[in-house]
Amino acid sequence: MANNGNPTLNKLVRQTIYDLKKRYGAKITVYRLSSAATDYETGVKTATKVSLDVQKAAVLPSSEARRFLTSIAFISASKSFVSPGMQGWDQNVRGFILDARDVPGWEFEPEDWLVYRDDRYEIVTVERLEFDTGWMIIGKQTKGSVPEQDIRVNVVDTLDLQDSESETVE
Amino acid sequence: MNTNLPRWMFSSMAKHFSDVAATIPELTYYVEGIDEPESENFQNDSVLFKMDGPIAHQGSGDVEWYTVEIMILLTDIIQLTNDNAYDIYTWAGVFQGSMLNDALGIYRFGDGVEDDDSLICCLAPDPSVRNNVRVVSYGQIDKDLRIKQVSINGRFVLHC
Repeated sequence: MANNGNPTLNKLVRQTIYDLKKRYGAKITVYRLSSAATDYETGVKTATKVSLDVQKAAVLPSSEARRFLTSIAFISASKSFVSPGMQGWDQNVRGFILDARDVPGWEFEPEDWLVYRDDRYEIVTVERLEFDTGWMIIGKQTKGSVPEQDIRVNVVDTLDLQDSESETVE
Repeated sequence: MNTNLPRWMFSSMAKHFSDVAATIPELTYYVEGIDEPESENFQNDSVLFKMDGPIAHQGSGDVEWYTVEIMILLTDIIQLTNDNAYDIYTWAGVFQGSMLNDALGIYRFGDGVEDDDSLICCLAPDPSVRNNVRVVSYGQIDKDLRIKQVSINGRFVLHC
């Protein structure tokens, strides 16, 4: 977190993000297209993407998102989110608040997208919270195909060790 | 009508103008509805290909012909320095010249049964409309968006 010389305010913003994560925390995955190409003769598309799992992001339901975004925007002086009504809130719109510590090094761009509960959300608006404490994102659910996802699995099986020996006759 | 014709026409023209765009090093080329938008598409000078059609026409004696409308949209990021204000018109000339002077071949591109990359025939500017290949300038499209745009719109006919 950037040092703004006001540890009380820093703590307040951090505490608010923590509370939101505790109450509305859910797993999401953020994606970015790293390269894409189309063979114009055959139409075959190739694309590579990078993704990052966020174990707990505050996923705000549409009905609550406006109130919470207004509150946190007020705290962090992020004025463009104070009146989200101007940005076309409607069905299938959610607010996402991400703790900066959960997405280290990730600079959000409008072309990134989120996947939450197997639904893809295009980023409508993204803003960095004051003092680099986190990100506020308004996402709109896309209709249509099920999004491609990176599924990460952990190998939990243990390997059996087996001794073997062979006899060498000289 | 061969049911592959819309795909062949689209792929042939997307490929043709991709090759034209490749002659202008600073341009990023992408096809509307086909290419996935990447961040740099919006940060570089770019060219967008769009095609409507084919529109099928039937005449007497089972004569069929097709028309298509092609739009090339050029976007120039406005820079204060190290930028030539006429760049976008230079690029427009390249694309307009290609529409008027090049053989716009329609090939059987693809990886299907009938797709053997052979030439079907060529598009030609549609003589039935006036101003069939024209450059339209939009200037700086918005006060708070420092880009200017020019499109080259062409209407073409395919007689097979």
